[in-house]
Amino acid sequence: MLNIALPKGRLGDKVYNLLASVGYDCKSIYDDNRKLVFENEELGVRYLLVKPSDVAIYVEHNAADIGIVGKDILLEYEPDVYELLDLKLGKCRMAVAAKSDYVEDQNRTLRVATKFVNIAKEHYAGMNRDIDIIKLNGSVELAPILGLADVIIDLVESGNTIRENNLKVVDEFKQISARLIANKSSYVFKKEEISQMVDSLRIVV
Amino acid sequence: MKLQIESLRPEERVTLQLRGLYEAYGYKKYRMSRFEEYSLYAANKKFLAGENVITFTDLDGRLLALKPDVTLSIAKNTKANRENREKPYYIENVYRESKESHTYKEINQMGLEVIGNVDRYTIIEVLSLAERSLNAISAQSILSMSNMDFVLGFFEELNLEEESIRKIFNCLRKKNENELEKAGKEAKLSDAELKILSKIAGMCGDFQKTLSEAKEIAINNTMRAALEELSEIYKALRILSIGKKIQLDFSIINDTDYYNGIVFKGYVAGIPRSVLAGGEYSVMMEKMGRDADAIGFALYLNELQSLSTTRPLYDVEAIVLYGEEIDCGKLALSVRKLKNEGNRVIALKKITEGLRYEKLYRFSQEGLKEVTGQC
Repeated sequence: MLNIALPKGRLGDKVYNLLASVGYDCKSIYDDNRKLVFENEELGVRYLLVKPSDVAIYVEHNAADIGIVGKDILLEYEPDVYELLDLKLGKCRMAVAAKSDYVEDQNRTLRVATKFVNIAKEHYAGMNRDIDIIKLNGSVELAPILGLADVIIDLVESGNTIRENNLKVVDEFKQISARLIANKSSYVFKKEEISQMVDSLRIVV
Repeated sequence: MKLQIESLRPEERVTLQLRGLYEAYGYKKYRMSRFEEYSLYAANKKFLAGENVITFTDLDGRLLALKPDVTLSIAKNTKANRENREKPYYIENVYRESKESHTYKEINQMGLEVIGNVDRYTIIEVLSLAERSLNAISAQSILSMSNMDFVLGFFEELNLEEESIRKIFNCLRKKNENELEKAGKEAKLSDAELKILSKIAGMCGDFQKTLSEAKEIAINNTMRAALEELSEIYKALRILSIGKKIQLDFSIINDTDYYNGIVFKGYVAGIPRSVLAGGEYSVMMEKMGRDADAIGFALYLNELQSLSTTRPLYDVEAIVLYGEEIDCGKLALSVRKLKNEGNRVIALKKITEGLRYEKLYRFSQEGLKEVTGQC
């Protein structure tokens, strides 16, 4: 039995449809209930619906053998897992954004508001730029408007949220998409099943 | 119930079993101090699992550290050379940062090293002991191994900058073919070279099958020699009837500043991470100015805690309840008698809440009497 951690929400739905299209369906997932575990015993798959940011934790700790998670989470938390496939779903960019009239003053410490503390640190360390990080958990776009930060680092998909809040993208530095990850121990003991799934997905992505 | 080896926690049982095994092969227990000069770790940060070390200033002003690693201390203090070999084994606590909780953690490690002349027999002995160690934990275990010279041999051809090699190695370790392609293109590798890299990332599993796949992409003598060595080692492991428990995985690449040649990792079903890691580290010995080769492995006993064990049905088989004004000598004798019958016994005045027991006895002036109908 292969335990698959799926992120709850839009991305999870897309990923499930992709998996179902290559033969790993589990009809009960469409039932309107609050269950978080769905199983198709015949096909040997069990889906676990978890919070997107928790997928990597489930996989790293072997509560799930494989999982589908955004590259942003992998960059931020660097879990000790195998990253086997880019599913090319949920595509977006990790970007630096600021108020539309923003001009950087390189003579002072840059204040960066973000959910992705480690990504921000690494990005600016690469430029040797001194920064102050302000960790926020949501509505990051507010930070430059209210003067809380000079710039934000966040995921940008269409760019609408950025524009509507009178911000502009200053720099896009990472391409993000959904990745299929596997627990290292599971990969040893369930290699055939995992490889089979990866191979069939590789054809359709 | 007598104390039996099966009733011990897995990490306790394994420690006992493996001490016997290692000593039978001539390994000697090496007991070391809990502290080590910090400078040893400052100079060898890349060898450690994490950068942070617990340091303190000793009363004589020296900067010391609580050991984050055992191998470095053994390598530093050894008197072995190519003529005189040492075979230490150890059971020690090391102190490392936990990435998850951002706190320091005490980790119980057991392992062994061979320092001196490391020939093919030695490698086979260490590999077979690593396999036996995993088997002592569970029959459902696999030892994944590689010969780093195979991958390093491929890089000999490429003339890449250190940063590109670091990036490519990281992708290989994660079996991340997508990023590997990107990193390879950035390093201006040709399509044929990219193809080989992507094959290396995916090459793991059954030893013989993977070995023949690897033979197809070997492009120079270093790579071919590495595979030849693997093939010879596998022959010997098959004679020892442990061939089925050994797999090949070319994505195992340890830090090249310390390791070379044979490297391996051990997995046990039900434990999320590798429980055993090791390899040849002659490069480190050379770095430390020692005229010796070395190979060894460590077993992370802490990881064994995630193995599920069946909790015994009862905490004790018998409880003896006693009141005031009794003959304590006779009570002690009754308790001893029950214990000698193979029971775990507790004598109490009042039953402790939550205590699970099989039989309840009451001790009074008349002697010991079983109370029936209660549990």
